[in-house]
Amino acid sequence: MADGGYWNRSGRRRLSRRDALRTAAVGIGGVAFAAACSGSNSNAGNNNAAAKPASSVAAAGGSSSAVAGTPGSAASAAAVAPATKQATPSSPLLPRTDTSAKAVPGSVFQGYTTADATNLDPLSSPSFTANAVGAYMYPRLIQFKPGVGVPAIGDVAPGFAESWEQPEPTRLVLHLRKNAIWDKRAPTSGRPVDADDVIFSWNKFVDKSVSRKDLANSTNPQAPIQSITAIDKYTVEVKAAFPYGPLLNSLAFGRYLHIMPKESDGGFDPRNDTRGFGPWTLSNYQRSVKFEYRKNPDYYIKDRPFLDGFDYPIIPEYASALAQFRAKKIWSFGGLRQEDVVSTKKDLPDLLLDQNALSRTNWVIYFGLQPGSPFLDDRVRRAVSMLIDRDTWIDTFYNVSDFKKAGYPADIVWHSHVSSGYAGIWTDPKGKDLGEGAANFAFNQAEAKKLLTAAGFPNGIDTEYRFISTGEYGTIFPKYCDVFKGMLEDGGGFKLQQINPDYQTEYLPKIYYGKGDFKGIAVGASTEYPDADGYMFAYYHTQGPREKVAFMGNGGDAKSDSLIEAQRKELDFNKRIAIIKEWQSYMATKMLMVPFPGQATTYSLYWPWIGNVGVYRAYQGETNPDETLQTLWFDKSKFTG
Amino acid sequence: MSPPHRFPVGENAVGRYVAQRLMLAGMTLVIVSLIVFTLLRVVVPLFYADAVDLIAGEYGHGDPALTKQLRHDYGLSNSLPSQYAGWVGQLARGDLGKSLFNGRPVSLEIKDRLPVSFELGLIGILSGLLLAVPMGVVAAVRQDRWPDYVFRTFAIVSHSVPGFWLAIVIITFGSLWFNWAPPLKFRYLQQDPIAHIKIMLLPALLIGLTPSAGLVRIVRTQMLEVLRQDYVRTARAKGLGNSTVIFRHALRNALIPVVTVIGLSLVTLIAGTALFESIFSLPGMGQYLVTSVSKLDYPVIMSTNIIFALLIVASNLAVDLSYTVLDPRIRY
Repeated sequence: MADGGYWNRSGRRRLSRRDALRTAAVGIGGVAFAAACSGSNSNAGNNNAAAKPASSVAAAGGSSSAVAGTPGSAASAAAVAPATKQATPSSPLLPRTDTSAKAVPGSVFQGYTTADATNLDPLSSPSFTANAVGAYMYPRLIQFKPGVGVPAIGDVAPGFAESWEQPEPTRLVLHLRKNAIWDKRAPTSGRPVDADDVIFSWNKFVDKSVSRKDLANSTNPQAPIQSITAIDKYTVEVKAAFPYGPLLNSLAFGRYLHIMPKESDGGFDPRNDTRGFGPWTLSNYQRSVKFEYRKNPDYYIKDRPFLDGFDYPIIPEYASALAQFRAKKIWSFGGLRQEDVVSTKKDLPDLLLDQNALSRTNWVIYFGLQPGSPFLDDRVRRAVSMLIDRDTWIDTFYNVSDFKKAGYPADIVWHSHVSSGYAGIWTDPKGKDLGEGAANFAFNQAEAKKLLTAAGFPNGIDTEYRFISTGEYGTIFPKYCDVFKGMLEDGGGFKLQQINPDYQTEYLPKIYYGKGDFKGIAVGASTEYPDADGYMFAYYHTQGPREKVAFMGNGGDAKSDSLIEAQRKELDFNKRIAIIKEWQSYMATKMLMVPFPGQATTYSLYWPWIGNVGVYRAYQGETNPDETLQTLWFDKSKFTG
Repeated sequence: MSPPHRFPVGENAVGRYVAQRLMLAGMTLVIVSLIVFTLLRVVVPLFYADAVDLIAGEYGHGDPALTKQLRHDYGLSNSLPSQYAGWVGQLARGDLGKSLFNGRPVSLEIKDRLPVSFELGLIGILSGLLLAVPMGVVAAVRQDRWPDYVFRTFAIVSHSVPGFWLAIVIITFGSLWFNWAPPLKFRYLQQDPIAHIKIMLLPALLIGLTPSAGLVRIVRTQMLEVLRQDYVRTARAKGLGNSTVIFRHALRNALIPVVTVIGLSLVTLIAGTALFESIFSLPGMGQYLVTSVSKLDYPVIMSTNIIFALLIVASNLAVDLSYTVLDPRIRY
């Protein structure tokens, strides 16, 4: 922190500013498992490594089947980010011991969710909420492998496809399970799930899904999958438009290809009814009130799930949800605000404290790149990055000091241009691997001033500063932006004229999708992808659907584009990681956009009678909750509700 | 609302009056439908977004072909006059339409939810009345003495403290001090009457608190005015007991404005229970409407607005007709 800097002066000007921010700061990111248990809409994510090449995989019969031929797994595991510690005898953290062997089947899990789903059809709903609900009933061909005792790192495991092989770089052949049957109610009437359902689902995805441009080449020439066709009743072939490293991850991703029955086209209305073949059935749904799921007795993995079901009342009001949790009427509280963790645990010491995995999202500060813009100059963008005091920002918004005071592990990690949640491929800006660009991440007002002077702005830059303040990115987002503004203005670097554009009519069309054709600086969110490639391509490649760099100079940065293209087409895992790391080092020197500062350890609390809680850890908490929920069980011996 | 003295007098006058009011109600509903449609389908998209923009969000802006297809799928690609005519035609056939997003008929949702909100509003207003009428009467009879001060203070405080805030305070401190929380799983009256009452009582009482504050002041003011009327003095001079004078002669006349306020409040309460439904996880109309508004689910918003307009018109008519019961001088 700089002497006499922004924070010191602002502390004098507005005594309670930081406290107010602390109070307002909600738990951000990193509550993947909590979200899985609660179904909350938190901005959750898990650690992962980059996607592995397909090679050849066969199911071992369980949901956590071994994945063969995935070089780099060891490297990935070793690189799990620091904020994922294991419990020790003196640790306040819950033990991550797999108790499946003594699991007693039965009972209904009591969770909650904060929001209703737009509808129940994951392939045609224009909202991702349907994917979260659909994940319980409609499996995908492949699924992410849960981490057991450690965060999931993006390995894949069999889903509806029990095995697969990749005979050519652009061909993937998947062998489907023969013991999967649809819901026994009409019109599916318990018939076997087969390749026709896969083809039907793919065609519907291409026609209707809001995510189709990420995956379907017919809707976007940069998307990887050209076609999915049936070889026979239980074999399908995925043809890629080009060799694509994260192909398996894309098929496992919870926002993409759920397998739905052909009968959903006219036989029943999939928007408000379900006929699935996943681990759960939706037994009772009342719009804006509750979801009740029950175990599917015909699920293709025998003896799973352990629980008979789970109930998710919809509780949008935080105080109500917290009260229900404290009264033991709900068993896990994924949306617990980080500033409430310590006090709640202190009041109710029986609660289990779980350290969340890190988020994989990486929001950005980006620039107007019109001709003559000062941000066309690398030095100005680097100065912006240097004016951000990352540690202070993270400490403020992640409750770090309070956790440390309470004796909880609380580590701070900085994002590079890849989120620090992508263990194994993320390069730590505090380490040496990022090279000379690492200096651009360090808080250094003096150096920033020198850079601005060298760029021809000795008196700083007077420009516009845009962010939305209407809640689409969460209520905390404007506070993030307010703090950035203070930091950029501090020390005379920038004089910013704040503009809060309307999200729909101005921000999305002119700023977010404006390809840099605006004046000044803007701050924006990013979404979750199955692999780091999705994020890199979407935001940093000049052909990316959300790119914010192409307007710069002669159509963007050719080296960045070429590195992004090279990594996505590289099937050798280690070579691919090397390219992504090279891209991060290059980005650190260029700062085409400035990534958000980073994140710190976050926590969730659970009642102790949830067996296996915190042990099986989903890769994608929001939309792949089925991967871990079926491993939970009710430990009656610990129940005090 | 029409003042009582304008009511027609004579044989079949009530029938003629009701018929006139029903015709007027029909015109009111047509005007409401036009206003709602224009605001929702013309003004909101002009200055904000339409349903497809809103729901497709960031992805939608990146895929114009898909948003065009969604507009077509949702029946939003026809001309606005034709969409309006289609909607009004549906309403005339008693069809409230289906949700844009999940295809569920609006009438089914209303059938399940309106009774819950109605019950909340009714218990709220009844509990408010039970609190407000005695307080107002005592405050008037004991004017400028301590009961008057206490009840007026109650009225000001209750009016100043929003019921939903009080609900959150009760839940928060209930959980902090006693690890208590309100029942989580809703049960309908026919399923489990005791559980149902346990669930409904606290939110209904809180809903009734704010209107009761206003009612205390209205009852007090009206009672003060009536107690000074000649006929009350006459009643006392005739030697009638104090309670007979107050409850039989004074209170009955003082209640006319109270009934007017209640008639209007009931619909407002039904429509305004959203926050309480959200806090207490109740399956009422408010939650449904808020969820639909947040997604711009046009058929739901438009049809529920018409239903609420219908309820307001009906309650106004009921209030007008109730004047004859309270004041025999009023004739149709």
